Amino acid sequence: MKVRRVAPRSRVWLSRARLAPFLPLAAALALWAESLRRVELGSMTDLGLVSVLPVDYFLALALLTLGFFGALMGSREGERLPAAYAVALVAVLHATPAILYGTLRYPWAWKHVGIVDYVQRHGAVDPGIEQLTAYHDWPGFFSLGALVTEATGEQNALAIASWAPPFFELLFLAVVVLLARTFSGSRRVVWTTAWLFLVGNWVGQDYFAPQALAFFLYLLILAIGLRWFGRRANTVSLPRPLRPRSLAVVLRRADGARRRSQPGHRVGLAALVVLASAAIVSSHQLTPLVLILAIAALARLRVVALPGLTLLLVVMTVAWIAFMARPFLEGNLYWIVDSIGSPSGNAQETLVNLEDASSGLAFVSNVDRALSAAIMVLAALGAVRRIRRGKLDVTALVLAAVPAALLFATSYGGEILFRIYFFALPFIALLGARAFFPSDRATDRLLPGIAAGCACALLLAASCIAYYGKERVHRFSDDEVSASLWLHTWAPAGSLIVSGSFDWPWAWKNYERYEYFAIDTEPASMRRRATREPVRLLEALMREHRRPGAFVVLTRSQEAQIDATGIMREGTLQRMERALERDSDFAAVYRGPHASIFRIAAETVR
Amino acid sequence: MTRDTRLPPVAIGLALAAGGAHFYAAPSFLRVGVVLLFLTVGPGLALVGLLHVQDSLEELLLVVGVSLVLDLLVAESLVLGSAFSPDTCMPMLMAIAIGGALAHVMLVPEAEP
Repeated sequence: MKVRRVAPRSRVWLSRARLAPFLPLAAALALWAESLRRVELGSMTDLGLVSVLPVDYFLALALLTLGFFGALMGSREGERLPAAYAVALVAVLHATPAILYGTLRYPWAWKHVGIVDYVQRHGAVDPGIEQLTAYHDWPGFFSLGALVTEATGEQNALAIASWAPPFFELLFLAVVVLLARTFSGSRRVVWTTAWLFLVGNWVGQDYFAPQALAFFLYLLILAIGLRWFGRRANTVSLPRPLRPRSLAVVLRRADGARRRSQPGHRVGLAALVVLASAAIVSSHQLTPLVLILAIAALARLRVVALPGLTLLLVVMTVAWIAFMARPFLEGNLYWIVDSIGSPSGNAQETLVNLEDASSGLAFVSNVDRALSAAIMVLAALGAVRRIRRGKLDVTALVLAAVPAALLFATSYGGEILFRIYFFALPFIALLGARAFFPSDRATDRLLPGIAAGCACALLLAASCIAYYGKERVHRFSDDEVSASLWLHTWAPAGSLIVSGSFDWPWAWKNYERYEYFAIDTEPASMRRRATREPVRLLEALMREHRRPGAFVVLTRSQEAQIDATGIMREGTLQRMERALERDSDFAAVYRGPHASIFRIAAETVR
Repeated sequence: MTRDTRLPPVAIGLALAAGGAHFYAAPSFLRVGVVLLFLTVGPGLALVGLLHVQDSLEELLLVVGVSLVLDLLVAESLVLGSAFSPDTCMPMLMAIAIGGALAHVMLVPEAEP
């Protein structure tokens, strides 16, 4: 007799219950996939990608936020559900440009592909090279890029670089979760930290660049230090009443739970810390400084016991600069020295001059400033709520504050505020999560979760504007890439390549054979001349640089950059293009809908 | 089979697969997938196994961190010596992965039955 097997009702119910929390996730991913099919990139305004993304895309983000906080406030424990939502958020935010564009975004990523190309062709770097010297003096990341490119059989690093943002964001997400677990045993705190980190990370430091890898290693070193070499608790219970002297006593006595491990394992982890530090020191200029400051602060507070690491980091960094990066130092010492001790000047260099900017860029810049400020206000609120509960998150506060010291050291080419924010963000996010969940104890109250969900939804909307807001400049059409490929393939070695700005796919192939020049980086007098008499200016430049040939490349992305920032009068590049078309000394050698290349022969300017 | 005993064969298998895909020019999609996977986790897989980390996320991050750091340092040392070539880097990284896996097998005591 056959017996029909029937699944127990409870198991069916259980499986439905298990699947239900994933439904918003599945719906969000379906909406996202559908939305990508209807994007018209050509209609993008100076609000960037946001201006062409369909409503479905934003509904997908809303569903992800709803599902994530629903999962976090639900009765089910475990990490898989919030992790799945967080990974989906990374995909939706950071894989979208790679899927839609089909070309590498960010002009500076193309330069990095160019350094990898140099290593591929030469098997070496040239520390004394005239252009892009810093990359040859800190070649760690580019060596890795060349290895990955060659070993996978790719001709160049373009395909790998296009997918770098989601890859690095996943690494950041994982290490931020690990760090947050070091500070709190509450999954709500841990995952709200991760979510806040993702929505607050609008600064675009996740692309194919040394800082992305160095940032991951920086956070990993901190996680190893705090989890395996921790001496004291990261949080101290405050005495009542709170007095500075009694607080000092508490800080001295606070004991942390050090992980039980065999000495051999700790030696292995210490070796990993040293190797990761070496990778950072040889790859990036700024991250070693932040790492030294962070490790020194943690050692001073006796939070971690890694004796000698600060000294070792200082020795490694100084030795690298003295022996390996001397050409860069010699060529840039003047502005490095100028930057030291002028925090307001360094900060000012980062900020866009909104007086000259287009209304779209001004709006985007205001949104990104408001987003950063809002997350910092949340962090301050979280710290205050913790203090009111008698807890002081010493380590998180220190690690959030330490990067600000860089403001006294360097302008970092006008990027220092972005970098400080980026280094502080994991710890700002952790403190921000405390604004909603000041205690580690589980509670049945839904209000904190609803508040966190609403706040994160607002921040996510702002993040889309801040992160995608400059895509009209950062994205390159197939035509712009074709023009660049033509130029880097056919321009004779030694040619001068002049552009309106550096916002085009430049220096990514055979880059050392050319000299690059962008008019918008020159003094105001030259920029004005570019507007009034472009042909005479270009001829003068070519005479001055004594090159065998010269090319002028004008693209849509350069126009977008110049018109948005207002650094030159609106329409300057279009007028320049028309003037070059009329001038018999220049010949149009490439014409496309989004790019034009003109050539002037050496005999013309003699 | 415990996680500790599973890691060495996985590390060795991945190293050999990546070496094969690279040196024998496997079809593009296969080569990209296998080599990327090896470079992202291969060298770290066997070495981190020696630390007996219990937390899965911590172990994963250490595996990826060690792998990327070793890839970078090996490639960079060859670049600085003006001798970079993937045909030199890959065998060095495969040797690290296989050597780590063998050390793992020799150093980790067998579990009680």
